[in-house]
Order: sequence, then structure tokens, then C-alpha cells
Amino acid sequence: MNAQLKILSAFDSSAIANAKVTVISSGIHCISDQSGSVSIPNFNQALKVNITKHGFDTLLNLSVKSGDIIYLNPYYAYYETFVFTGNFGDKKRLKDEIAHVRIIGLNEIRSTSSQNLGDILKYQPNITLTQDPALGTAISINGMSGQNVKLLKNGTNISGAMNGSIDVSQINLNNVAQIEIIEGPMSLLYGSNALAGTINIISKIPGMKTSAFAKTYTESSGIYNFSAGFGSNIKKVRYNVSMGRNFFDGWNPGNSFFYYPANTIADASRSTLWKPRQQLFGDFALYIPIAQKGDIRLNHDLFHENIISKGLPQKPYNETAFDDYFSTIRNTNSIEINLRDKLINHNILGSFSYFYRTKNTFLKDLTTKETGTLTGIDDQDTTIILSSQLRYINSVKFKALKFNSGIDFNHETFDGKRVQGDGKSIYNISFVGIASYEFEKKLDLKIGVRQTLHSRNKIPLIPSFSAKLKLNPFIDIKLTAAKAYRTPGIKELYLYFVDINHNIKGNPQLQSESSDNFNLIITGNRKHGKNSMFHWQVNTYYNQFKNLITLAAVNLTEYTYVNIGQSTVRGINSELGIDYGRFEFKYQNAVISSSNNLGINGLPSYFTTVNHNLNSTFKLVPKKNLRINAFFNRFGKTPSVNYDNNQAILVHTNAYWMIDFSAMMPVKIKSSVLNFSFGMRNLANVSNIRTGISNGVAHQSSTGQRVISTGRTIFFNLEFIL
Amino acid sequence: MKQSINILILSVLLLASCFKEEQPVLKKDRGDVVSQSVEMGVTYDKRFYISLDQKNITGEIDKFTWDIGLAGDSLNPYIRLNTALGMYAVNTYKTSIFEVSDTAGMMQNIRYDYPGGHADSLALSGILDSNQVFLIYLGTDQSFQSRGFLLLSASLNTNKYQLHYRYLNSLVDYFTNVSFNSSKQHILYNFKSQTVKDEPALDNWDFQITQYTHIYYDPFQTYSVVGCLINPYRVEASEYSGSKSFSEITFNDAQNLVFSKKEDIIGFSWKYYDLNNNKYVVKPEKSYIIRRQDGRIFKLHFIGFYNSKGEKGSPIFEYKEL
Repeated sequence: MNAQLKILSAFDSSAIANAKVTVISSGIHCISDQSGSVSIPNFNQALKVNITKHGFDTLLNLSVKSGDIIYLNPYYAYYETFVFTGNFGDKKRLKDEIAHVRIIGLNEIRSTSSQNLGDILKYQPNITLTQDPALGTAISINGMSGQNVKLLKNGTNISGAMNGSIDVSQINLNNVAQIEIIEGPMSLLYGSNALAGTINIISKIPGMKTSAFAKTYTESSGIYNFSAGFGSNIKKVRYNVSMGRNFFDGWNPGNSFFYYPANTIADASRSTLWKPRQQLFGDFALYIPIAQKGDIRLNHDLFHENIISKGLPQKPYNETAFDDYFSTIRNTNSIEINLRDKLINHNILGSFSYFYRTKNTFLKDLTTKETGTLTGIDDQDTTIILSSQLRYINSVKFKALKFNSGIDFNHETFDGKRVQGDGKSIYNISFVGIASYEFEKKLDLKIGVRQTLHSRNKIPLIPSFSAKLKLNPFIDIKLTAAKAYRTPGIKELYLYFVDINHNIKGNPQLQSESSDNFNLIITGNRKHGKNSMFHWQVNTYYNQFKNLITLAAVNLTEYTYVNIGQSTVRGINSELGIDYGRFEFKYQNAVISSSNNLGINGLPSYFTTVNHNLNSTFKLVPKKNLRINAFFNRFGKTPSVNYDNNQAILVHTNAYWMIDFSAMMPVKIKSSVLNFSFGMRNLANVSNIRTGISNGVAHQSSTGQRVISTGRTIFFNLEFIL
Repeated sequence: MKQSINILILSVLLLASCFKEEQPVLKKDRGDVVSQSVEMGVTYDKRFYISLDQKNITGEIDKFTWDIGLAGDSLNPYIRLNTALGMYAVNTYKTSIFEVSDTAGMMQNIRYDYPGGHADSLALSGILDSNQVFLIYLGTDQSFQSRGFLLLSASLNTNKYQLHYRYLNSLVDYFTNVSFNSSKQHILYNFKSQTVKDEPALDNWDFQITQYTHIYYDPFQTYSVVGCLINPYRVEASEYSGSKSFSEITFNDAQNLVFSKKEDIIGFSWKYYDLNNNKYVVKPEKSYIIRRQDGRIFKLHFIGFYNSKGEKGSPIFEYKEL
């Protein structure tokens, strides 16, 4: 009788092929296949084995029984992680990547039980989330706001920025393999908006084996999520499909810990600070290998969200209320073709996305439940954005010299209220050239330029220079100097908001914003013995923005957008990671300084915020991948300026802690795995923080509250994987 | 595997939720107050005159049908602008219309009508006795486009206003006479059609609901608002400052209040614009006391700004004689 074992990576639950299993009593060696399965002949009840695999911790004298799933910990994820962003259909080991890339892997997503992009980004110290309980979550990287951050999925633009930012809580992590965060400008590769950084969500590529998953997630604040997926193949064509529903029933400060809203009477309790929302989503991916020559990848994503913002009953009779309904539809389709031969690789990407958002406001009669539609310009609003992209990049390699060249075409049509005329469109075509050279595996140099022809704006030539020096086997130094840009949005160009009290018009003559960025990164890592490892990195950056677009008065009554602003952001991000036996620690620190361009005496020339983040994991039962995680995030005091009687005052937003705990336990049931995780979020119970604090006291004219979270909650996550 | 699926299905069934239906509330009893609403339109085109004792709307005028209001009382003549259109004026200090051909250098001395209604706080104050030409900005039309500028000089003759005006950059001069009418607060004059429009008689209304321009002084800013202007020839008013709700206010509560004849004493602060939700919110806790010349006292408060179709510009108010 044979004993069957399955060997998976503790990093992302992927199968580990070619792992060597040695039966101690007999000395028999067995090797795992592509699915991680290994069959040991002459099964013995008291089987003890050693398991070895290059790149993973060795497990010695391990008691196993038939059917066990064994999780191996990689020495350190750094070695096993690949970067896809900027590699045009190819991938590169993280340690070889010249750009400064931060990877959030599947294991980190699972450890935190993150449900959407906003959930996982809150654990990054240099990323700040701005929560709007109705309109979602906007991000800034290194102190630079969402309109300067490029959001991609598999290299394709995610469309639908409202007021400059994409709601990251709409980006679900259902079928995600990893998230890549590239800090610093990436306009060379991705064009407009990639000034502060780029976030690229990498989907799982459909596998050769039939697979399925289903998961539920529940949080005591009122989140009830469910999703399921299936993947298989038809001959060589692989596919997967998944779909799900995320539901949040709304939350108010003061709600009981396990508040469950039942059918209620239409009184004041109908209005919640955090608005109820329902998200329905699905995706379909197809992977078609082209024998020895490359592959074709098709992705189709569909997302629909409804948010209901019920208003408080209007005084004095509490018989009417204003209700807002927000609806968002986002549909993204992309096809990527990779053709490879010995000399030249071709990468072709085509995508089309449709974004449709409506806001409808109604006056509801709470005695009859009848509704009337409000007619103000702010009450009914429809925004439609159609985006398409076509990109071709080729790679030619001559020994240590590599050339990339290509062409990138983008087109966007915007239709919405307060935009002059019907449906404004902008397009641009860019030519990209990149040369990289590797000197004896020690020094990498990369230089590139992007020239863009834009339908409305003159875009400067975008140069970029990167260098990576391998100082010794343990220390790398990376240097980047690059230019980036942001073209004005359609509203900035064509806004038309004129009524008896407003006269704001867009400015079709606006120029692009641009930035000059310098980054210096030093990274180090070292392995000690078989089970310990540490790594560290320091990243300093300096980003100078020019031609910032600002709303300004043209005369007594008329306002328009002009290019007058300048700003500088500088900072240091540092990280220290230690893996020691069963413990993993990762400490990250971000010091972010934004220039004060007000020219007012008595105010500091830079406003500085310091954030800290500590992630720690204890592997309770390493071979079962049973883990306990703790996340400590300290978001520092944020200074800003407020005005009181035309007098500028230095104020700040209070610092706060976000502390989460979670435990993850995979349970094997026959051939399937049931991942069970639970935990507590926001242990410090922070829901709002004070803003506008001056000299330790709330300043009357400027004090306020910033919404942070739905308070302390517990969550429960169940994931079934076949 | 069956076990796993069962656990999962059970979890989904137990841990699911959806948008909740809500149960309607019961309509509350209004008591014996008079409840009234006016439909100004979403762009506040109409002005309404209300009589408290008739419990009715006694007049209605479209804001685009007139440009200036000429005081009906010959003992207290003045000219005011239709601030619902965003009009303002500049004294050119010229004595002949023919001396002015453009607006150069004039925009530094813009004058607005102070909404309190005092004759000496109007943009055109001095026009009747100085013989000076005033440049008038005519505000905006239905599409919020500028209606241009007009030059006006005015004087008084026996029982008549004598007006001489021409549109800026036009060579056509208009001369007209408008008679006083002491039974009206204003005679409303339209430059383009050269016609007058009648307000209801002074003794036929107590307050009006209208759009007008409010002025903030610190910092200086004009803002178009919808509010309540009283008829100073017939009533005076005060905001109730006590702690009682509207339904609790009695005759005695109105005795120690300081009353004013300032036309915008009730004004527009009974509502505010909620910038977070982009909606007007009415403050029914603000109650006003109106005392008429005949000694009758009424209490008034506003309870809505939207009609049942959800259209703004439909103030709803309640009043009751104390």
C-alpha cells in the first residue's frame, strides 16, 4: 500500500514539484510531481520522513500519514517572488529587478483576510487611505494623492477615477496572485498619472489542473462576502471563472458589537455613517499557450456596486428624508499576446473598459414610501468613461544588452454633467525606447525615453535612468532618476459649472503637470543557518512637482483651472525583516515630508508625517501552516494649515493605532483543503480621529473628525480549495 | 469534500444579508396650524406674496418680467434693482449717458442693493437727486448668460419717475415716465418691454418668498439666496430666541421680543446648504414672530424646501395666529 502526501508552498499554497521525500527507516527517496503529490511505496503506519527542496526550509524527522498535506516555508519570499510589472509578458525575480518593487503576496493577503485592495494597502506605512463612508476609499503614496497613482490590473489601466481617485474598495482580491507596488515614477512605461507610484494587480494564470474554490467572509461590522470559482482546461486551453458578492449592511458609531439590522421602521436609525453597499463581481480568464512560441491571455472583469445612503428624517415631522443611490458598473476586457523566439520577444496588449456611475437623489415620503426625484444639478449625475488601450512592446536581447521599444495608444471618452458639450474625448500615442545593460552580473543600467503625442496637451519628453549595483552577494544599491507627468483630466479641461452662484469653467489650454523624481534604495539580505534570515532596505526619494493644476479666480466672479502650483515631496522608507525559526517579523517605517508652498512666516517649510508598521507571525505548527499574525500600524500626526480670521494656523490631525490579530489554520479534508481563519481588527477601536488640532487643543474654527474605520470588529473567513 | 461543501453552504446561509426593507412611519397630526407651500421652480423664477389673515397667496410675479422696482410712495422715492437676477450698479459720476461708452475702470466701484430695504443702502441711491448716470449690470438670463449692461439716469417730476436709459454699446435711447402708486410698495419696470408690472396692494400681503442677493461683509461676498422678505409697511418681525419649539410658542412668548421692520429680518437662515450631501436642509426649530400694525401676532416657521416630486425651490411653511 502506498502513502500519498501533497507538498505545498506555505507562501501561496502553490504545489511544489521536485521536492525530495526520504523515508528515514528505509532510505527510499521519492520526488513530488507537478501537482506536489508524492507517493511513498510500502506504507508504514509510523512513517517518518525528511523533506528537502532547494529554496525551502528542510523538514527533518517528520511524522506523516497518508493523505497529509505538508507546507514548506520558502527560505525567504524574496527569492521566490517574481515581478511582472514592466516586464511585458515576462517575469523577473524580485532580487534581479532594477525597479523598486514591493510585493504583497497571496500569503499576506490570506493572513490579513483582506477582501479588497483597500484592506491590504492599509498595512503599507507609506500608503495613506482616505475613507469616505459613502464614496469609498482613496489612496495616496508617499504623500502624493490618488491622481498621481497609476492603478493597473495585469498591466491594464483600471478606469473610473472620480475626483481624481479610484475607489480601491471596489477592487476585489478574489482571483489575485499578488500585488506589485512600484514606488516612484513609471511614466516611462505607463504614461500619465504614474508620478507617485504604480500598483499592479496580478491575477492568477489558469492552471493545467481542474481546480475550484469557494469562500465566505463575515465581519461583525456587518460584512457578508461570498465568492466561488472554477478552473480547468480544454486540451491546452486553460480557463478559470469566478464570481462573488460582497455585502456590507452599514455601520454607525455606537452599534453593538454584533449588530444585525432587521427590518426597521423608517426613523432616525435608517441613516448610518457607513453606508450599506452591495458588490457583485465576476471574472473570466483564458490562457492559450502557443507551442514553444508564447501565449495568449484573455481577461474579462465585471463589477457592479450599489450604495444606498439613507438620509435622516427631516424635522419637524420626520416624515420625509433624502436618499442617495450610487451605482457603479465597471467592465474591463483585455487580451495580451506574447510571442517569443530566440532573438526577439513581442508583447501586444489590447484593452477596452467601460465605466458607468450614477448618483440619484430622491426625496422619500416615509409615511407612504413614495419617492420624488430631486432635480438639482448635484442630485442626478451620470458619468460614463470609455477607455481603450493598444500597446506593442518588443524585447531584443544581445548577450548582456537588452532593448525594448514599442508604441502605446490610449483613448478615453468622458461623458457627464457639467462638461461642456456631449462626450469629450482625449487620446495619445506614445513611443517608448528602453536600453538596459548588465555588467558582469554586478551592475545593471537601464535608460529609457517616452515621447507622447497628445490630442490636447504638449507632453515633455520623459526620460528615465535606473542603475542597480550588486555591491556584494548581500547588498544591492538602486538609483533612479526619472521624469513623470499627469495630463489634465477632462473636467479640468472642459468643466462648465455656471449658475447664479457659480461660474467655474474648465481651461482647454491647461498644460500637463510634471515631476522630477530621484530615488536611492539600498537593500540587504542574509541567511543564517537553515532557519533564519534577515533583510533590510532603505529608500530615500525626492519628488518635485511643477505646473500643478489649481483652481484660481480669473476675476471677481469667474474661476478656472490654471497651472501655477509647485510642490516637493521627500521622504525615507525603511524596512527590516527577520525570519527566525517559527517567528517572522517585518518592521516598516515611512517618513513623508511635503513642502509648504504658502510662503507664510512662522510655518515649517515641510510638513512631516512618520508612520510605523510591524507585522509579526508565529508559526504554531509549521508543517500545517498554522499561523498567528499580529499587525501593528501607527499612523503619525499629520500637520496642515487652517485659516482663522485670515490668519494661518499650524494644525494637525491626531496620530492613531490600527492593531489587528488573526489566526490561520488549514484543515485537510480528503483531497480538499479548508482554510479557516479568524481574528480581530482595529483592536484600539479607532473609528474617527480629531483633525484641526492646534497646540494640543481642538481649534474651534478648524476642528473636525476624519473617518477611519468601523471600530473594533471580529472576522471569520472560510475558504474551500479543491 | 462533501463535508467541506456542507460546512461552506451552512456558512453562506447563516452568514448572509441583504438590503433591508423599512416599515413606513405614521403621519403626525399638524394641529390647527396653517400649512402652505409655494412652487418657485427649481431656478427660483417666481416670487410669492402671502397674506397671513387671508391664509393665502395673494400675488405671484416672475423674476424675469421686471428689472427695477420704483417705490410707490412719492414721499419716499427710491429705485431698487431686481437682485434675483444678480444685478448690481456703478455710479459713473457722469451727468450724460452719452459720455459713457464702456465699463473701463468702473468695476472697482460696484454697488449692490442691501437686502434690508433701506433706501440709502441701495445700489442706485442718489440717482434721483444727483443727475448722475449709473451703469447697471442686468444680471443673467434663464440660461445664466449675461444680460449685459445698461446706462440709466433718473429724476423725479410731479408724481412721476422720469427715466432715460440705453443699453451699453447701443445707440437707441429710451425715455419713459412711471407714475407713483401709493397703494403699492413698488412699481416693477421692465427695460426691454417698457412695461410695468403690479405687485399686490400693500395691505394685501405680509411677506414675500423670493430669490434675492444677500451680502456678506467679512469677507465681502454676494450670494444669491431664497428667503422671506417682510412688508415693512404692514408688519414687523423677530426671530424667536427662546427654547420652546414652534408648537409650544404662545402669545406671552412674543411679548418681550425686539421687532424690526428690516425687510430681511426673517431672511434665509431658516435653511442651509449641506455641502456634504449637496442638499438644502431646513431648520424648523427656527421660529419667527410677526406682529402686524393691527396688533395681531403670528408665529411662523419653515418645514421644507422640496416638493413631493423632490424639486427644490418649494418652501413649505406653517403659521398660526397667537
